[in-house]
Amino acid sequence: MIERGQRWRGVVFASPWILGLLVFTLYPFCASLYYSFTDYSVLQKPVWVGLDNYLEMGKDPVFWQVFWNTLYYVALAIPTGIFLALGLALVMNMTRRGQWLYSVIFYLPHLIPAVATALLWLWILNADIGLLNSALRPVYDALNALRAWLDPELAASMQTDASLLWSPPPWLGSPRWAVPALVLMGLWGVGQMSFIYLAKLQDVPIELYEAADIDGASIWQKIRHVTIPQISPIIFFNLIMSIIWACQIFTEPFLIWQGEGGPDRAATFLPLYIWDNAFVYMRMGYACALAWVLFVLILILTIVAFRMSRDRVYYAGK
Amino acid sequence: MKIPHLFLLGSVLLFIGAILYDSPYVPPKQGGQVTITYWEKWTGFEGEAMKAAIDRFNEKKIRNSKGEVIYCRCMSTTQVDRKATLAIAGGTPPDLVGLWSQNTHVFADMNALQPLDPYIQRDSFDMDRYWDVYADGFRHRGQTWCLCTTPASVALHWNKDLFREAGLDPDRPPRSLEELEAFADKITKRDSTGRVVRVGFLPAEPGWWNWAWGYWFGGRLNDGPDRITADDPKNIEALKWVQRFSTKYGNPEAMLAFRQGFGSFDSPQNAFLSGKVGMVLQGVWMHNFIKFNNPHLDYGCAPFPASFDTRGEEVTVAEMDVIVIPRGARHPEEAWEVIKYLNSHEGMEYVCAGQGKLTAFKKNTPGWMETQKHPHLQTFIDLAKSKHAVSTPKLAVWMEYRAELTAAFDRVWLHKSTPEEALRTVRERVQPKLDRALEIQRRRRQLEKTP
Repeated sequence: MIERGQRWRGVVFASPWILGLLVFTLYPFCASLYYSFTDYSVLQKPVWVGLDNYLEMGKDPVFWQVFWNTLYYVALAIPTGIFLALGLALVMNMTRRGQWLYSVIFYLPHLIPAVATALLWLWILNADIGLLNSALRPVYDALNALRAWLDPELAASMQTDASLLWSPPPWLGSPRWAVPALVLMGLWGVGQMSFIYLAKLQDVPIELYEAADIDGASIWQKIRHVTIPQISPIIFFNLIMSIIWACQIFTEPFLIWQGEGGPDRAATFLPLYIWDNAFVYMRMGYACALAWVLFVLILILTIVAFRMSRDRVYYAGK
Repeated sequence: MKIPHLFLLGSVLLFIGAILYDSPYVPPKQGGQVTITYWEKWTGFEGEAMKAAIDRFNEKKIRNSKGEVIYCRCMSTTQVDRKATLAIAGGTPPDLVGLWSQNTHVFADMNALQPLDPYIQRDSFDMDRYWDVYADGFRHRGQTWCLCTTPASVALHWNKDLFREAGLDPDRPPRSLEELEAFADKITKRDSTGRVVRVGFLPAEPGWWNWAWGYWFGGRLNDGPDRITADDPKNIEALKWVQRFSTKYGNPEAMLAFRQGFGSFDSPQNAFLSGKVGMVLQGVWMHNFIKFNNPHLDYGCAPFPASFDTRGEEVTVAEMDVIVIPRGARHPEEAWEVIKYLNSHEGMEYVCAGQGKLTAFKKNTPGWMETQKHPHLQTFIDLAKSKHAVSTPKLAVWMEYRAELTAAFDRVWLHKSTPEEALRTVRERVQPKLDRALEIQRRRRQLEKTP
């Protein structure tokens, strides 16, 4: 039993956090729900409009474009991030010497602030003078030369019509490549996830591998039947955190396209659309409704992840 | 045990106290002086020019009706419109804010500004001194909400060296869109593999007026405050012209890649300054950036050619930086004195000379023009006074409309839509938004009437 005095002491000690939570999280959370049912510009008193904002969303083609963009990014970024991080961790786990050095190197990009990362990748992915395309261009030139050699007619038309030449992707300038380019950027910070995997990988009981060896298991079988089940709680943790992060992507696209949302809105995700409505179009009410949709989207994806993982995640304690 | 306990309890009390006793910042009162605050968007040399003008105002020691000397503090504030929005909503706005003419009417519609008409009438302030396009920008729904700090207009800038290289007369800018295209073709250069390394003209560069090309074809974006006319046939004609350029020098994606190689606007790698684009549409401010980043550039300025016979009244987009008194400002009367100074010949001519811009006045002080360093200032003045000088439509949903027009430009450029489809989509998307905004405004007015 906790004494009465002790309990109060606990509350007092925790009170800065409790107050912060109430004032800066719970109040805005509840207020945004109310505002989502109003027309509210921040500058004027809110006017109750009922479900109008939510109904408008259903008919707003920009919202749907942005919604699918967000899902597309999530669907592309999460699996690539998780698999790359896991792959890196597995390789690092196999190297006994210098493991700390690799951990540091792969973790370092995660320490670079998002703004610096965005500016750095703006140059790497620059279609004309960027590092990536400078490396790709000789490959494309060789391909074009090969095409010209194989088809003399095409070679003649290539001389006059530059649009027939194959060229490296315009990355950030093209609606088709904008999201893949962002995913590529996201992989740069994958070291943090690898670090967590690595910690868990080193915790897998050696006896299990020894037993598998006695049974004549191959490396792949050991990974599939020993390693993955053993580290499944961590994979699951990374999955949930990735869902939350990916759905809230804002800083990088905002900086790269200077708040414009990319060519043909290809890189406008829900958080940017919320921002635009709240602070550019002065429609805080609609922005709050959008924020609630984003919240529900994250909630649904998380619940789905929990349901799907029920029989696939192994907890030693259970 | 006691010390951490006291420390935590103290910090909690401090936190609660700060919330309870929070009050807006009031500048320290000095005997016989009243201090007012002014948030302005500019930094760098533009900010310095404005601060120097405010210093001049302060030196004059103008007094308010109580006999106190007015002292104005000018602060450079990035994203000034957003910060002002929150400050106004929070009831602690500065006394003056420097906004843009394109969104001032939105602030006015939201009851966030104080009308200037009472002061204008009281002081018999001469409103006929301004060029029509600017004077029109001050007013919305029958009231005056802002006055000017610096005006601007846009014109064709051409690189004379590239004209010479292409065998064109460097002193003769294109006078029709056909000529513009022909000149552009001559200036465009490719490397040995056939890829474009320089273009004569790109409608997407700098991309700030992608929504406005219709004006050069005689199109209109709205018909009154309640009708969107995005798919006006003239606007469609404009986007057809734009679309032609997207495939002229390579496929649209290759052109996107080429554009990405352009440096940022205010760097020496700017597409126009580095000679990657021979002709651009740019504003009166461009001269400053040329002076800083490529002082040896030999260039000219002329009206951007239109598709129709303008009869000497050339087309331009004439926007301006404006100054407003936000709702809830504590010193509106003193703030008006600053506005009045910045709209006097002395004030505006000083700021505009510092920023290398034209003034909004029909007549400047004799001799002022002769002292200006901008060699093409007269071109911008002629454009501002033209019958075909236009400014952004004062629509409640202008920012959304502009975003849609920009998206339509992208779709047309990438051949994802025909100009007709793209602009029809814009109208179909924006018109309901406008109807809804007007309906809400009507409901608000009704609510305000009922006690």
